[in-house]
Amino acid sequence: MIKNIGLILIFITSVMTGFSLTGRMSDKIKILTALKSLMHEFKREITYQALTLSELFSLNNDKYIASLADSIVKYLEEGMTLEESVKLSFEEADCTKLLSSDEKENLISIFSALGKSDFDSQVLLIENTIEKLNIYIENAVDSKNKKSKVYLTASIYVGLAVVIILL
Amino acid sequence: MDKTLEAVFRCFGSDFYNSLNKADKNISEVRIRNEKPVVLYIDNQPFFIDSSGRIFSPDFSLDSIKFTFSEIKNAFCKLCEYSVYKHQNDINNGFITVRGGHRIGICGTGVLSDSEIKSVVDITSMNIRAAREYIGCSEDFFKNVDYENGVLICGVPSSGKTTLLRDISRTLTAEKLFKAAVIDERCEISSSFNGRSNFDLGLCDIYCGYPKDKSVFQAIRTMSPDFIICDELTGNDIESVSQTLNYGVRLIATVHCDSLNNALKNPSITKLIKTKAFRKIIFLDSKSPCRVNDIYDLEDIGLD
Repeated sequence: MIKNIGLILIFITSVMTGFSLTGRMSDKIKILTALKSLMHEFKREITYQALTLSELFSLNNDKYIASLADSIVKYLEEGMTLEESVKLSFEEADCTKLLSSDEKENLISIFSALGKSDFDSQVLLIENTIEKLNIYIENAVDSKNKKSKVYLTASIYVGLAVVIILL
Repeated sequence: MDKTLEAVFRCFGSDFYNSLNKADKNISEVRIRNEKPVVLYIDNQPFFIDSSGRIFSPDFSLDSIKFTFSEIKNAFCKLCEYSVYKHQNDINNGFITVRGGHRIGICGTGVLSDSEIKSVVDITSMNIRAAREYIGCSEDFFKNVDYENGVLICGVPSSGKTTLLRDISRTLTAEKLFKAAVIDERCEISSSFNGRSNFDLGLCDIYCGYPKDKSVFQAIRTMSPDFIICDELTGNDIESVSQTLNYGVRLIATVHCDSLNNALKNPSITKLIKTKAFRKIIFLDSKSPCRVNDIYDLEDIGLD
């Protein structure tokens, strides 16, 4: 009886791992989409309201990137430079852990350039960032489509294989 | 030191702020230039400062605080709260106004488009002018000047023209209960930041950031003021000045000038006088800010 329960648990754990890996890929897409929405919001607010960068980050209400935006605002208010604030926030925020190091570095350098130039350059920078985020989102969706089935199938087969071996 | 001014100096690093704090002087102006000694103005006199907070008369042989180009650039971004786009119009006019209403003059490389300054890059000099409010500094003005038919206030830079205008506006509206509109093209009189005035201007209506030609007309049509108060008139403002006269609104304004002799030699000022919008022309003392030195009746001068 205990052995059967153990085997069921092993199978469930294996399948859950597959789901978790797929879930992480979905989360990454949600994070990138949230960053893209934030950039759209930046563009709109810069055009019509001319808010400061801290105010712009405070506008974010997307839970997926809340830790990142809040952290940048916090560090800026503490008197850190924008580069330091962005770098530290990207290192610390949970949401950025799902991004690849290339994506992270690119986003750090883009975010560090925000607010440092005139209106036209800012709009251009934001538009380029949106384009870049579109590419990241496309890649993440492709990767999810390709790998999610593999992860799920593999996790079921691995679970079954372990169960069969242990039977 | 005022908290907002402290925040301005902290943008140049804690060390710089600590040095100024140690010096503990009433600094009215700080000039920062690329790789050159920082110059402080105390009672209109220039001084250098070293990292220990020691203040001394300009002497290039002594070690004094200097900033590099990248330090100035970083400080500028911090002063703009990393929102350079927000200050774009001001930057194109050579300054930014920060929290507390302190005005920072900037100088660098202009980027032109169709002969207009589109942007300023590579900032190499900054002039931090501490905004101050002296409640009651217009007492002398109200006691001695017949202000009811328009007054042109003249003074050299740092003679307290803007500070005096602030108190005039407060006294006129809050004590004498006139209606007044303040035309604050560069948000300097009200020292507005994010829509909030940092100083008490009484019960006046503040047109912040509007060009003079548009705001004078708007103010006359919509706010029916008894007085219009504006800073730093130039020859280009003749039309706005004439409008006030046509509508029976009295004008109190300032110009840069040190004496009547020079005022009458200055074509812009003579044009302003010829509009007959001012009855009195007064000159401020260059050594003691906001103090009225000379008062002239423009009818006596008889400029046609």
